[in-house]
Formats: sequence, C-alpha cells, structure tokens
Amino acid sequence: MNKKLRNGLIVGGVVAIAGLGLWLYTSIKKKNDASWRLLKLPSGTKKNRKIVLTKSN
Amino acid sequence: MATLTVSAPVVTLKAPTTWGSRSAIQGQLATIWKNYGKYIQFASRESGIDPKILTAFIAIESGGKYNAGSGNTIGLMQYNASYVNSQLKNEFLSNRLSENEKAKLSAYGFNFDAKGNTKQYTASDNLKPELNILIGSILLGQLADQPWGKDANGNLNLATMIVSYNSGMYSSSTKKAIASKSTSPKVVHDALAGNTTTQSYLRKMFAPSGALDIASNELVNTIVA
Repeated sequence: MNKKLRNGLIVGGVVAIAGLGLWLYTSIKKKNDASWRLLKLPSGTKKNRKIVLTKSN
Repeated sequence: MATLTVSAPVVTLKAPTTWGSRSAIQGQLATIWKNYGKYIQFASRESGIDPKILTAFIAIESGGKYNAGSGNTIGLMQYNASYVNSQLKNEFLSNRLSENEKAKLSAYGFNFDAKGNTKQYTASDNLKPELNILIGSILLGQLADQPWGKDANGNLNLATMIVSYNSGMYSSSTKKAIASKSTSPKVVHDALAGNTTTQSYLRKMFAPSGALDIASNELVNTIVA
C-alpha cells in the first residue's frame, strides 16, 4: 500500500474514532445535564386539571 | 376541568422508623402552614395542586426550614437551582405560566423575553420562601403533566412524580417507576428495590401517619385552598 495512503487512512481513522467518541460524550452529557429541560410539556394543561387529595376508604 | 386524585394513606406502606410521631408531624405541618400558608395557597391556585400535597412536600423535603440543605439544593422544596432557568423557560415557551405567576416572578426580578430567557436564577433565590414554593409547584406541575402522570381512572401518579423529583428524571429509579405502569404507591415503592432513600420518601408521604394522612385528617380544615 502506498505510504501516503496508509498514513492518510490511519489519520482518518483516528479522527473518525475521536469524532465518534466526542459525539457520544456530548450526547450522554447533554442527556444527563438536561434533566428537567427535556420534559415535553403540553401547553396550558395545568389550567385544565385540578389535583386533589382524598382519604382512602 | 379534569380532576386528578391522590388517595392516602396507603395501608400497605409503613412509615420509616426515623419518621416523627403523628403529633410531631402534625405540629410540623401546622407550623409550615402558619409560616408559609399564603404562599402555598397562591402556588396551589396557580398550579392546580392541592395545598395539602404541597405542604406535605415541604415537610418531607426540608421540614419547613427555609435554609435546609446546601449548595444548589438549598431551600424549602430542595430543587436544584442550576436547572431553574431552563425549567422556567420550558414552562414559559409552553404557555403554561399564568399571568399571576409571571407577575409574581417579575416581583423577584424574573422577567421573560420572547425566547423565555430571564435573569440567572441562583442558589440564594432558593432561600426566598415564596419564590421557592412557587417554582417547586411549577416543577411538580410539569411532572404531573407527563404522559405517565395519571391513569385512565383519574388517579394522579404522585408516587412516580416523587421518584422523579427525588432521584432525577433520568435515574434508573425513575425508569423503573415509569416501567411499573402503575399509579399505586405500593407498586412503585416495590419497583425501587435497592433505592432505600426514595422508598423512604414514598413511605413518609403515603403511609399511615405519613404526611398526606395527617394533612388530610388532623389538618383538613386548616390547610385549605
């Protein structure tokens, strides 16, 4: 194999693996950091429902 | 308007041995109401959550001490200050903030632009009881309105809300609670084997002589909307 081609493949592979690792890391971090931020909230729902405490029978 | 119900006590759960006596908890709930009742009433009206439930939350989270805890989770309702800006933004952009809530938040300097951005919320803001209770009620309302927040019979899934509030939205415990597909506090409790902290929280809330039991009996005419 051409030496230049081989080196190019190695560098490309390293960059691809690093990129994948970075993407995985940021995805997981974003998910963990997001916590409540990712909650999908129905618009205005809390105005349409009432929560009451009742005694058990 | 839909009514969602929470029933207590749950006789199959037992309060932890570290939980106070019935009279002690009654006194604690009464003190919380005396000190913060008007703030709880406001938050209850705006969030649609029974004031007895909010009072019970405060009792378990902080014992009614406005400066309980440390760091970003200081305060009556013990939520994490570092998430509040994004949580309020989410509430604002979903058109869920009432005019009364906006006015109250504005009184504390939290005015929103069109994108839902406002000034930075800090841990010191957690020490303001009225603000703390209002935001705590907003967060509980967000959990109540999740797809798993109620069943077909109109029962609120308060147990899973507590698990999420206490252990985190993406915790394994929350996943187990949601996967149980039950609004029964006992079923949710049993799904959390190994997480004694959150199990203990559920028992303090739902067991006989737990916070909800006492709030709905001894204090039913005291803690009012």
